[in-house]
Amino acid sequence: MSDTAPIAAVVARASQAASLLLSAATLAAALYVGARGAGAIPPLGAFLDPAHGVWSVARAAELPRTASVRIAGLRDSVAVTYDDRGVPHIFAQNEDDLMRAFGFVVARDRLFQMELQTRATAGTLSELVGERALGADIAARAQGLAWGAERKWKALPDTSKNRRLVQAYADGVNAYLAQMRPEELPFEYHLFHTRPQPWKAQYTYYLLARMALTLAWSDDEVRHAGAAALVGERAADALFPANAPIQEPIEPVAGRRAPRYDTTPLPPPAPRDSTHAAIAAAGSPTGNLPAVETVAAETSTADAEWLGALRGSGEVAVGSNNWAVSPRRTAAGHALLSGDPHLQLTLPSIWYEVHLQVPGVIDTYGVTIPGGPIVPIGFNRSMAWTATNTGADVLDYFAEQVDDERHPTKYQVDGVWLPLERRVETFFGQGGRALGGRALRTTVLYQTHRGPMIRINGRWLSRRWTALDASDDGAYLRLASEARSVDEWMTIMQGYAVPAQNFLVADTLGHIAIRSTGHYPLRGGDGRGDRVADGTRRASDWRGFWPVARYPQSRDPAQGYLASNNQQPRDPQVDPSYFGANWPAPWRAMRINRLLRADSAVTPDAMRRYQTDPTSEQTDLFLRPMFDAVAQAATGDVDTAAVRGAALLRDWDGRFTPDNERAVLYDVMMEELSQRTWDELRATATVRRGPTPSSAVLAMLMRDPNSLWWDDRTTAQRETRDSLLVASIGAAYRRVTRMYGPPGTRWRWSGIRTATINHLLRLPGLGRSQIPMSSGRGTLSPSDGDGTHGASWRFVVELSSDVHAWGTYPGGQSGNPVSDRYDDRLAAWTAGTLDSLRFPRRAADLRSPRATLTLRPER
Amino acid sequence: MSWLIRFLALTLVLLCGTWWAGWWCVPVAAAAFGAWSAHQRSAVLTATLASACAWGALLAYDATVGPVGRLLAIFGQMLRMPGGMIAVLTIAFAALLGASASALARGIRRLIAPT
Repeated sequence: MSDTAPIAAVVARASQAASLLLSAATLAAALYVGARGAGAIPPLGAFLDPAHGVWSVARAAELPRTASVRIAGLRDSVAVTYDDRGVPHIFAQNEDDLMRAFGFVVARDRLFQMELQTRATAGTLSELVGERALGADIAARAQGLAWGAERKWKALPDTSKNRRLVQAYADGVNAYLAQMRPEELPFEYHLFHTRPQPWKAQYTYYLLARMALTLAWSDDEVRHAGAAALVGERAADALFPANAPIQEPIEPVAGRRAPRYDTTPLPPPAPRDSTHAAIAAAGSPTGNLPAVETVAAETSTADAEWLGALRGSGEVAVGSNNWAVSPRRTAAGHALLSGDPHLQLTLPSIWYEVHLQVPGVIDTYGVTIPGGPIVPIGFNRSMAWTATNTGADVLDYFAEQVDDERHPTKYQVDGVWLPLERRVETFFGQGGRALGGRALRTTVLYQTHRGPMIRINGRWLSRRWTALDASDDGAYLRLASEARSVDEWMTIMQGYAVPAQNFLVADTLGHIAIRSTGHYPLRGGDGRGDRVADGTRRASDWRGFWPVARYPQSRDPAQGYLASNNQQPRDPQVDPSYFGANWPAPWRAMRINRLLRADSAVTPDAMRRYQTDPTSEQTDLFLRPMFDAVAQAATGDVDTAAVRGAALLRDWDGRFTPDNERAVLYDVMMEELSQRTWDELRATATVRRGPTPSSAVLAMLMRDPNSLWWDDRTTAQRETRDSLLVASIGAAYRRVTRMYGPPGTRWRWSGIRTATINHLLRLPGLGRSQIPMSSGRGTLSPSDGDGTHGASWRFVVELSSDVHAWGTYPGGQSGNPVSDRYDDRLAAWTAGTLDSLRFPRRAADLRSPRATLTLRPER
Repeated sequence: MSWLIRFLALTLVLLCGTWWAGWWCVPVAAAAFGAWSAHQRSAVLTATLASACAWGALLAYDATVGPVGRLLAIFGQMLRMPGGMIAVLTIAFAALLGASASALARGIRRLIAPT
């Protein structure tokens, strides 16, 4: 026994040591994963901590019933009352306090969204989400948006009132950050294990620049070059025309009560033209991809499909609408205004509803974009305003001659070498430079006097774009929201530059007016901006901007209403000046004009119904010839699928309602027809998408049944319009039955065309999908294949002496995904209904508020 | 001191510590407990259970004042697994920290000052 005792002791010691080592290793691993994370896993300690980590987000889902905060810089107390819809009504005693409170309140609900937008514009997303955003960051910096925004901010005089108010808004955001409780840290920051960055006043200008990217970017030159390379210059001009072939303009034409059709036949396709190939091959030079969505695409498994949908479909199914009716055509005798801007749908939503009041100065209700201390769409006690995108061509490319193809230092203009401005851009990984993020890449950007340069297939192009010019558009919008009449509003907005918008206004005096407001370049030569200009000549430069008097506009027209739907604003018979090219098809404009012409006693509820009207003006133009073609073919050897398809569409009421079982067949038929007709625009037979002309061009081609465009190059025989129509409906019937079985409930539109509202970063679980919609090709609420775009805010205002308004948007006020207020408006939006908007004159007038917040000056 | 009192006291320390100081409190407090009660056979078990219970109680509190169920649903969609797994992972992570820290401290203490 005495022999075994030492051995047992050694074994016990060894066992103890092993146990100790195991514990140490386990603890070290747990601490490492807890503090540093592993791969895509965030640091688990901070993340899972139930007091401060991601779980705490649930504790901040709803606003506290009452709260009181002291913030620096306030002169007086500010009362913020949240109504039952979660809309903050901010009652301040002066504008500076109002802006501080405005920044505080918006940050309280949408902090992550504000930072994400800023970073997407600045090209610093990689610092937030890591290297996967590098491509988007490089594109963003090449666009020069942040650079332009910084220039605008620096150009503001220190004494500028707007500068002071924008700074006050930023101070409000930072005041919120300074007192933010741990549970208020937005969900996404927990995921990315980062903290919000301080808000700088100039970020407001980043946001405006980002809106310009969304709304005022155009690549007409590239599309034109792409088409010209395939079918020749003349045909490309006709396929993507500067003037829409169907004219239902925004600016009414005296005496006209119907659309005007341009019956000029399309010139036939010409042989391929290699002189355009270099630019055409580049596609969109910087990729017209909003940076946030690019990140999303890079993290999704469906990149190719998504990019294809964005770039290749030709006709973007995004369309904003607005219309206003004069008192003499409304049931109650008050002017009515409807706003229906369409944008990419995201959660949290792009818009945030707010009511701002300073007695005697401002009393405005509407929607703001988080980060912008303005209400670009809304109403006050005297008037209402809204906008659709003008889509004018305000971006031109210039082919530059440089001294060194690879490392240029100079460019030539009129025989003189001028120095290039050169900027070195460094991209950092997660954490950024400040928090030790590693440098991912360095790029060099060059710039001429026109703007940033890009290199395409060995050619250097510079870009002139109104969005990069110095202007203070936020100031105009802020001032305009305080206007008391249509005329005052229009006067204030004369200086507004970018993005050009069809601003529609109505007031309690019964006036309505519209103006396509923005800076439109005056060009040399023929004035066209859809060709790459010769950068070696000073004569190619812009010579200034259109005077306001020349903008398309109208006030109190004889027809008693005004409407805009992104169509060509002015009929070229009135003014043939170049304004843009390849205008969206006018189906929405035709529909709303038809509805308003037919209704001489419009009510607010009718305005609401029109917003989701499910009928399209295009269907008749294609269906009648198709029915005739099938009937004609039925006398011979005809495809039975075509006969069945045509019979089904004869029963169709032409409405794209969720319960409709025929709309899908029409939709697929149109896709087939477009593919077969525009085969000349595909570089090879295997390419499914090429530059695609507007459906209005296709509709006008229907009038020329023997045009060469109907011929399918891949077959020996010569096709005509009718043979293509028969083939298209036959193919559509086969495709739909293959996908959804025989005609029946599986053909329901609600299961096929739905809205998809993704989270800003497409994070799973934070978006909503499969939302049925009353929308289709050419309806007032159009939708595209993936359903990611649509009505971002719908509202109707009745301009009676006591203004009434109704509205909704697809989301909710909160950016917190577990909050009731994250998507509480989605049901109303889906149903096409609008909520009554509370517009109290005093805080006390708001019955049963959801929450109150009092902001007090620091002692 | 009975086991139950030691367990409850440690749970309370871990709960308050996490609330005021953060997740680091768990390994620190569990290690202190392991060293202090090195000669108790149940020291590691007590620390493990107390860590799990402290974080479980905090989670339960979160659930009483906020929609934790929605958070679970989001995690479920993000991670393509039952959302409840993230709650289990949270408690398990606390237990792992508590267990390993207390075991290490207890072992060192016993090495330095064996009975």
